Amino acid sequence: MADARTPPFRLNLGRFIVYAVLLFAVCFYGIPLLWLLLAGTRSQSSLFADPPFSIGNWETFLVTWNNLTTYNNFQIVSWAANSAIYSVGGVLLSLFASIPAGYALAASEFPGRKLILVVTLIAMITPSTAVVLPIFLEMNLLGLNNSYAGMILVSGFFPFGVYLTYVYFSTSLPKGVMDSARVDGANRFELFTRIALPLARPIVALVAFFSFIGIWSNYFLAFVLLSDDKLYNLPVGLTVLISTSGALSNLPANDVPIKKPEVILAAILVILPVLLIFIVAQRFVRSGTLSGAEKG
Amino acid sequence: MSRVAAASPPPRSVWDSLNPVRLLGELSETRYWMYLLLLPSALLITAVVLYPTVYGFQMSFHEMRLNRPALGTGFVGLKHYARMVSDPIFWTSLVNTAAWVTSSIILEFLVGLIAALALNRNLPGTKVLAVLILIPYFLPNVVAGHMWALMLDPRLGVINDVLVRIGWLESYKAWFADPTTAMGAAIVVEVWHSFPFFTLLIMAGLKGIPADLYKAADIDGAGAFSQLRLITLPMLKTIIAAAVILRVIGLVNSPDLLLILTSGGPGRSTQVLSLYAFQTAYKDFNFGYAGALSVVMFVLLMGFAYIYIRLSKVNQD
Repeated sequence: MADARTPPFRLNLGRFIVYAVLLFAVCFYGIPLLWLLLAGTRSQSSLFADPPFSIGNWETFLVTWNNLTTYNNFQIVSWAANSAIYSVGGVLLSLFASIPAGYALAASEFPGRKLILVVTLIAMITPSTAVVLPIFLEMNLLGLNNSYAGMILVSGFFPFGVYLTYVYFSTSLPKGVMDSARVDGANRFELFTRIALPLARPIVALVAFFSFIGIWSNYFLAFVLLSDDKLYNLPVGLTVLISTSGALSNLPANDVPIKKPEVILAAILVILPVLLIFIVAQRFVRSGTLSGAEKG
Repeated sequence: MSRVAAASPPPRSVWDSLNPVRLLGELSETRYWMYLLLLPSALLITAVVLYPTVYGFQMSFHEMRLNRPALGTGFVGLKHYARMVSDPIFWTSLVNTAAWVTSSIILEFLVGLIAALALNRNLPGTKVLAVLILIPYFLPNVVAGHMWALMLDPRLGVINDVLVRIGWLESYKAWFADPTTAMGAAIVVEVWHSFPFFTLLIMAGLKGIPADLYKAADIDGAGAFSQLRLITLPMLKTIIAAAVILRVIGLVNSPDLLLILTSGGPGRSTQVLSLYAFQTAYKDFNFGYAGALSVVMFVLLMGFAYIYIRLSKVNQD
């Protein structure tokens, strides 16, 4: 695979160092994850007594699963459903806002275009902690605190999507095809729906991927905006589960069926969708981010 | 009858003139079209960033204590800012923020650079490794935090187990309960979680460096290290600067990890600005002072944002 762009280090020693570095990185990452996944199958006593990387058994796993899902009247199931609703709603909203806006910025010159680009960039990097308190008060004013609509509205905000779409369309819009469609009498709405949108599939996937990961993992905003425990998403739910059950704080034994294995299984539930989607999507995500980064 | 129908254009039914596709088609020929496409995004940005930012500034000049409504919400001028100057917790938080951000970024950059250089060699297996290395970056903060809290647990933590076995530690240690190690342990977790961001961006940058430069350097007899110092790093300057600035903003901004790992403790040893602002609002219910703290953070970060915008090419095209 050594192509024309072979980077530095040509020695065999170099090769050895490369693999040593990568092996270290994989351990640095892989070991914690592996430990987490294995721990999900073990019992409370096994976590304390057995070596860190032993595997539990199917029965223990089923008991843990049962304890977790039935706890507090299937609470974690409704949190998972909430997470799904916020994510799907937020992703759709972010696409609805990003794709046309990115297209408009890339397709033509119009008064105020540069200003809007700069505002979008600023919005992308605005400190979320600086605005989270006012957002909380604003949502109160609109009566949207503790509601699906409020969470989806805030989650759908994704100026990075506008920027990615803008970068994508700036290079990939076929100006020639668009000009001749124009001569044939197509209006500008048809240029957008018939030429730009069919081309946009990869960028739609990329924006959807990033906004999904962001919304699914979102802890801080959900923590601030939601106080009704029926509306929690999984990350907030996980934290509440941990603090109310005392599962991780080594408290004296209590009656709550949520112990360390249950908490670990809940954590696995939070990361599973992200892991699966990342593994499916990694090819285009890497190439997509790369092209975005090179232009940015 | 039929003669008249043939002469005039086909009649527009009520439904036809309400047809959204047709309406949008006609609208797209006006000069408002581009603004219509931008409208959803503009509304969201207004609702989630512009309005809250203005509101936040206004908040910082007013009394606003949700638990003491008797004080009202009058204008108090610079009172909150004056209090900040003499607030020792503010200064501790500022110093901690600087330490937290600087050490995390230096480590993330170094680890990220080394990983990117290694992955860029296109040896067998590097494609799979690149995917594996990127996974943690996409793990939710909450999970990364709790997972590490568990692994560093004073009773059953794997890390303690390993460190005791290889003889670096005498006995299991409660990393987050000791003011001298809490920040360091939190930084390890942060570096673990975010260094792939640097790897990703640096790998992109490496692809853009012309191979001829390295060939010429080889002929001139430059070694691997001087090639790195004289070619690779200078060529990556812009991308590294952009990555550093984005990480500074991300780190100053997000208290998630520290909120989960330490809540700022023990004592004030891991108290950072974002966490302090958050706690001022949600524990003391003092939104005015919290607003002022947020404004200070906002101004500091906008300095970095300004540099970022100058670096990115938006201004040039």
